[in-house]
Amino acid sequence: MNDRVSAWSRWVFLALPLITPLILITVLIAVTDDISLVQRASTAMILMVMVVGLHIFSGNSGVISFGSVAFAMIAAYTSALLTIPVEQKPSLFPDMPGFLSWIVEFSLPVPAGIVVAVLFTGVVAVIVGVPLVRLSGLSAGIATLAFLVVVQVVITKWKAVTRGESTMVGVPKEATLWWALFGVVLAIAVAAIFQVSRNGRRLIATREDDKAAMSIGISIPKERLVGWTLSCMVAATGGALYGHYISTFSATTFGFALTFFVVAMLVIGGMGSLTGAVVGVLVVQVLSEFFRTLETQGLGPIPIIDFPGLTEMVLALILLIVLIVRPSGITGGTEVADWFVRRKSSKASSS
Amino acid sequence: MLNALLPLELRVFADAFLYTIVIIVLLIRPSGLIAAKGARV
Repeated sequence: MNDRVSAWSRWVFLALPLITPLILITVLIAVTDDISLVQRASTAMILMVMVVGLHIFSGNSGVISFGSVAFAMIAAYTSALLTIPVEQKPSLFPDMPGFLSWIVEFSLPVPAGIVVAVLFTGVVAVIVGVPLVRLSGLSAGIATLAFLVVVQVVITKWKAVTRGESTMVGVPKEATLWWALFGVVLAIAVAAIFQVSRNGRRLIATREDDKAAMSIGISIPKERLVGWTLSCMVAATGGALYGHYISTFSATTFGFALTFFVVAMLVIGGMGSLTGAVVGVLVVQVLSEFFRTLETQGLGPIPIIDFPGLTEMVLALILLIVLIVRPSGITGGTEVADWFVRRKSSKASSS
Repeated sequence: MLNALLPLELRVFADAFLYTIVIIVLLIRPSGLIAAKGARV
């Protein structure tokens, strides 16, 4: 009983300091009713869902994955296929293959579509994960990147089902700032619960010392598969939300640029902690919005900087600096909860 | 070569097959086809 209470308090203690400011910021943004600000905040929070998803696997296992955006893409397309209104489907998918013709005959409400898409992506993640989690280091990075290319090629070339290189249209635009907030709160809660769970702690043990972990009977592939599947499902939630937020997208929307952004956010914030994932998104998003504004409108006395690609260049530079100066990211792998504990213990020791 | 081996209707997915082969090679030989002696990835 005591163990249960302490596990409950541990994940709440980990998640609450991250969730509370996000809720407050969202309420403040909603009160301002500034459409541009609402759009930027919604995008940032949906990206945060994907970054937290990546953290669940890469952060806890120490194995880098470039494939999480592939799962976001699968979920976005699945949810779109399930939720586009029935009357639009025959004209959008006239060549739907026979074994998938049932998709054209019905339409799900958006929340149900997202849930089914996430569950379907979870099944794909298990199938792909069984072989992939056996890899680590550089080969894991290359294999997950190869998987991203495979998914992108299949989606781009399977015109009958995905509309190929054409934009996916008719997707219900129902995701709002509040949906994004719900998604990010759910993602952080799932990540925190996993981090303090037995599986999460075993996975962290394999990150710290794989041989020591194996010597006490931890199965590395099994623990990685659990983390991988959960990670892909959270990234899929972000992908499905993103699809219903932007409502028109193609395979290039979920390409290398988004992958770079998601990985850069996690590395800049600090891959080893959940706080790092959240801080990384906030820092990168604020910086990229600042430079994008400079590129397009200028800022106060600063005139428009006519330099296409400035934002990406500055982000790449920041990523380089962080990797050189602080390889473990801004947060250095510590959680907000740890800061509170340290302050409390330093106060106690000084008194 | 893949284009020649694949059936006509699957040729558009040649790149997907190519990268699947890359994944399979990595799974079978994580250190690469010709790994250096004692190399560990």
